[in-house]
Amino acid sequence: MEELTVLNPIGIFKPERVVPATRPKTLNGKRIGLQWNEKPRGDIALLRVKELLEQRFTGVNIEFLPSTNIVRPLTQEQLDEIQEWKPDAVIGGTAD
Amino acid sequence: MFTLEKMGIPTVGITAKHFLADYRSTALSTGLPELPVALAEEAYSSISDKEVQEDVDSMIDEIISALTTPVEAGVEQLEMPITTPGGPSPLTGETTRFTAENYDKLYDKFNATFLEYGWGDGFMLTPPTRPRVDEMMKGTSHPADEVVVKHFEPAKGEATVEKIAIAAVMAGCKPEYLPVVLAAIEALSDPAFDLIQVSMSTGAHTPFLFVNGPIRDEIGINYKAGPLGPGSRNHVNATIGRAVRLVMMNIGGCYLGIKDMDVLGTSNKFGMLIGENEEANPWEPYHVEIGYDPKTSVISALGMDSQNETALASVEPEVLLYYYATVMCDFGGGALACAHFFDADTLILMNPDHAKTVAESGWSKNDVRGFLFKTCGVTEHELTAGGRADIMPAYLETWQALGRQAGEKLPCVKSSERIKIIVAGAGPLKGSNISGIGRLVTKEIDKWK
Repeated sequence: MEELTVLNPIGIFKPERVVPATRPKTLNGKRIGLQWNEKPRGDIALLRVKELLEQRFTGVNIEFLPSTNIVRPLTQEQLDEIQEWKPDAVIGGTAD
Repeated sequence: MFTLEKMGIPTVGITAKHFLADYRSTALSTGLPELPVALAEEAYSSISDKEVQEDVDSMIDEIISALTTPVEAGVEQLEMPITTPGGPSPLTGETTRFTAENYDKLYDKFNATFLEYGWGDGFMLTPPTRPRVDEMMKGTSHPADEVVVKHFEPAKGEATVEKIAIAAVMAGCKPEYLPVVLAAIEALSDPAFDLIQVSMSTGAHTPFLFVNGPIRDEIGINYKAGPLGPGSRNHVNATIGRAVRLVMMNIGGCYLGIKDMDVLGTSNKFGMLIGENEEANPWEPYHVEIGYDPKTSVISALGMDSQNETALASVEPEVLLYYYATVMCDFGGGALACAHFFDADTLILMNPDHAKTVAESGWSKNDVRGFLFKTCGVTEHELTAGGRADIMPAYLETWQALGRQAGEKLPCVKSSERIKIIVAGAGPLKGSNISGIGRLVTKEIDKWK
């Protein structure tokens, strides 16, 4: 028998672990951000989400946050703007 | 989404089913595999407004639940191989042994296994045995465990010198090509190159690479006729380009259907590398133009949105350049969007004969850039007629900044500085334009020797 030993070409990744944010029990009275990925009709979807949440929950404040293309990270300026608005939750359109 | 979760803000992403593997793999590589998702039946770019609204109606409970139900985090520490198309693989150790009754069968078995797990580009691979990898490592003085890129996007795999050398072996490179591959990987990881966009888009994007300086001739990079095509003359070009793609796959996780969401693809993705035809450049070679010594070897990388060729015989500079200006503009495709959303570069591959004609008529490279910027572009009518009204605001911003009037063209780049020019190929008539995704990035090669 012939034999061949090869090295493993696959990269190892060691990401920083992100702990999921604590969820509120209800969306009543919450500030909810909408983040559009700038793809066609993603804004239509998020507007419908806004409409439906406003029908179901009292005192919700729903606004569009700075938009970003999905494959581009938010800039520090955009993050600062989001932090300033202090959303309790964010809904994103994240694929075409 | 991940950044917001990190900031303590609960999130949910609405994602089409087609993109679920991409979403999950991205969630994993960003350290939050549990990130909630609401699944849309289809990509919203492909259905009507009414269908989008109906789809949202059907998933609203899912969205609310994702934002109000506690998300349990799993394992505390993540350290694992990047996600590959073959799923959990038996080849998880540092090495893997194959056995067969003869070498031909052994070679086939190795290739079949690597193909099965999605670790190749479709062509036969050279087995990365320890002796072959050690031989490849003679091409650099850097240690095997040196980290070239800590988080190589988009899967954020760790690109060590040895992992890159393994890809170079698989691609068929010789050891003396390794410094070029290492410098290319360094260039791709520069944020200005925008590797995430180049890797993950639904567009047929790929790195376009060109080399300047003495190493071009030292290792035999083709810079004359047909440097992007097949053939033994292009062995160096092809194998370096291929090695870069294998690194993008096996370290960057750019696998079709996982991170690479390409709708059609292009054979350009197997690898694109040329040398600049410096001898035929009547101006300064690109690396000298941007401040390098002529004796310094560098590689430049541009994420390519598309390549458009021009074919023209003329001895009039304005006529020649007008046709280059026409192939810069592709308003039905992604080039214009990349230019105006991302302020991307565009790269003219000027035919040597054209460069000679233009330069002998007294034009500098800056004159050429100025003419192309003034001449290239599409009209407002063409933009809206082409159905691109949805992204007009980004275009109009540039239009207004330039003070252009109704009926005047919107240029295909945001400023003339975004137009880069090299002289490439050999023979008459044909030149080309490479529309960029991000910026043209240049890195020195010699430090990787």
